[in-house]
Parts: sequence; C-alpha cells; structure tokens
Amino acid sequence: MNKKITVVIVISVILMLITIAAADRLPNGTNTTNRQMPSESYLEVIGQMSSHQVYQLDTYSNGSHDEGFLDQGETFSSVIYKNDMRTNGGYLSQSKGLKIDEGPQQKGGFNVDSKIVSTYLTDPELGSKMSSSDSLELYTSGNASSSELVVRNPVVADIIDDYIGGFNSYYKGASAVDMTSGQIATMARTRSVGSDDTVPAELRYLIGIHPDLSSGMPYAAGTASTEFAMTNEEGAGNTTELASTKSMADSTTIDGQIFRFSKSFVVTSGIEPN
Amino acid sequence: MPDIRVFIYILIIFSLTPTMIHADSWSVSPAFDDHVSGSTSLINMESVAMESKLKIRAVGEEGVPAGIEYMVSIGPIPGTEAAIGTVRTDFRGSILEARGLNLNESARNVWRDHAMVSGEIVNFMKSFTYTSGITL
Repeated sequence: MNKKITVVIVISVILMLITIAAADRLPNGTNTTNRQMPSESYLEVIGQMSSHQVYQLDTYSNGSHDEGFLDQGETFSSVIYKNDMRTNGGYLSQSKGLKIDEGPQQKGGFNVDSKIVSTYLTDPELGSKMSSSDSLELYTSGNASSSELVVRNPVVADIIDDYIGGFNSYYKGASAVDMTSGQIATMARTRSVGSDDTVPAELRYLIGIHPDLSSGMPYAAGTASTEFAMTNEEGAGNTTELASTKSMADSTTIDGQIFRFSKSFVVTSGIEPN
Repeated sequence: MPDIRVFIYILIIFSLTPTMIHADSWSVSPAFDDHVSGSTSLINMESVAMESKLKIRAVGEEGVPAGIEYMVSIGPIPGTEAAIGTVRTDFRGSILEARGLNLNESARNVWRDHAMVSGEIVNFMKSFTYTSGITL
C-alpha cells in the first residue's frame, strides 16, 4: 500500500479514537451584547438601612424553546445573584460594587462580579443588629455536540462520529449573617457566557468575617452560615445515557464571638482539546 | 495519488463552508427589547446636601451604543455632621435579545437594586452605568 494512503488512514483512525469527556460548554453571547452595567455604592449611616439587589441573566445559544429539550449542540446558562441587607439602627459603613457584563468572556473574565465590605456596630440602647444574605447560583445545560475541538469543523466531526456529551450542572455559593458588631467582606463572581467552547464555566464565592478594630472589640459578634454546592451529570457521545454524576455540598454555621472566619469556594468546568 | 488529492480538496471545502455560513448569519441586526430605569426619593429630610448627575445617550449613529450614567450623592450640609432623614433609591432593568432573524429569546437580563437609608446619613452615594450596543 502507498505510504501516504497509510498515513491518511492512520490519522483518520487516531481522530476517531479521540474522545472528550463531557463538561460544561457555555453559550456564546448574542451580538446585541456590548452591555455593561457597573454600579457602585458607598454608605455611612447611623440609623436604619435596607437594601435589595437581584440580577438574573439567562442565555440560550440558539434561542429559547417553549417546550421540549435542547437541540443537538445547543447550550443554556442561567445566573442568579441576590443580595439583601437590613439594619434596625446602629452604625453602618458599606462599600459595594457590582459589575455586570453580559457579553462573551475569555478565561479569567466574569459576567457577574460583586464585592461588598460592610462594617457594623450595634446601638446598645436599641439592641440593634444587622442581617444580610448573599447568594450566587449558576446553572448550565447542553445537549451533545459534535466536537469542533479536535478537527475544528462540525461537519468532519459528524463524519468521524466525534461528540462531546450532554450535561446539566448547578453551582451555588451563599452566606447569611446576623451580627451586632464586626466587619464582613464577600466576593461573588461567575462566568456564564463564553467566547468559545474552550472557555470554562466558573463560580467563585468568598466570605470573611473579622472584628472591627476601631470599635475596640477584639471579636465580631453574631451568627454566620455559608452554603456551597455543586451537582453535575454528564453523558457520553451523542446518547442520552448518563456517563458520570458528581455532587458536593458544604455548609457551616458559627455563632458567638468570632475572631476570624473565612471560607472560599471555586468551581471551574470546561473542555479542553486533547 | 489522485485519490489523496480529492480527499484533501474535500477536507478543504468542508473546512471553509461553515466559516462562510457563519459570516453571513451575523450580518443581521437582531431583535431586542430593553427597559432601564432609575429613581431617588428624599423623604422627611431635616437637613441634606444632595448632588445628582444623569446622562443619557438615546440617539446615535449606527454602531454607537445606548448609554446611561446616573449618580446620586447625599451628605451633610456644611457645619453639621450628617444629613437627617430618609433616602430611597431604585434601579431596574429588563432586557430581551434575539439572534440573527430568530425571534425566540436568546438572552434575558432582569435586575433590580433597591436601597433605603434612614437616620443620620454621613455619606450615601450610588452610581450606575449602563451601556448597550450591537456588534455585527
């Protein structure tokens, strides 16, 4: 047999043998999306305060469906960010920044990026306290897709039957705090829209509680709880059969004199060319 | 040898075809429906110094994005330590987007930011910027 024909056959066989485990594929942004919405707030008050912040971004790679399943190759992602805070008196100083960019992100970029630092001191005559809750959730889903990562062409991928499996994933980072004195810092970031299939989904959540040293107390006082969760199911090839499931949950509650409390959660899921 | 050439030509054609289709499908301006609002209320203020700034770009040439800049700042009047009263802010938005000629919703954004501060206000500042355009 001619050597060149042998080489072509060998390359074709290698391409057929390459398989990519399913993992999150993010929908790409629509081309109406240059949308960017940074917002900031600074606050210093002796008295009452309440705030409510919610943001939701749903992105479909190919338009929504009134009913039924995603088409082959189609992906969907949804982000929900919520932040609530309330005081019934006392001293509150707060710096809050929320950057929203619904456009397609590269690795390292985020669609939602929130940072909040709050310092609170109770009014002893009122017995006042501060309550806050903060949560970031990311849901991604996709049907099996012909792999463009190996051969860079969906048509050729179809011919050699090379697929990335379907997937459903859910990630959550959340915290709730009731305190009479102390400082809380939270950071919540997620990427739900990617510039191409190799950009992984990502969720990061971090919370730190420290004493407010300017108050003269060596500890923060109150209750804090955190909840981190991840569930994932993946298929193989272009079938609907489950090939892998994963789940993880972490919750912590502390109560009393808090000298230091810090927790962080990072989850990343994506596909890479073999 | 001719078989190999045919095989290579077919591979090249397959490689180029999706690129051409892709370029054509993006040359359409897709459907959209966007609502954005912001408001500030001062209630029963006994003393206050307030500064607010609002900029809106609603008419532009093709390729120029719509834009809003809103900022409000509350503080004490000179000689006092704090503004006294209640301040309320409310920002909202609702966005629908499609792809190509498809009228099905491809992206949905909904947000709300509501805050109320009451008492001795040493400093209260909120700013919000919104930019949205089309990239073809």
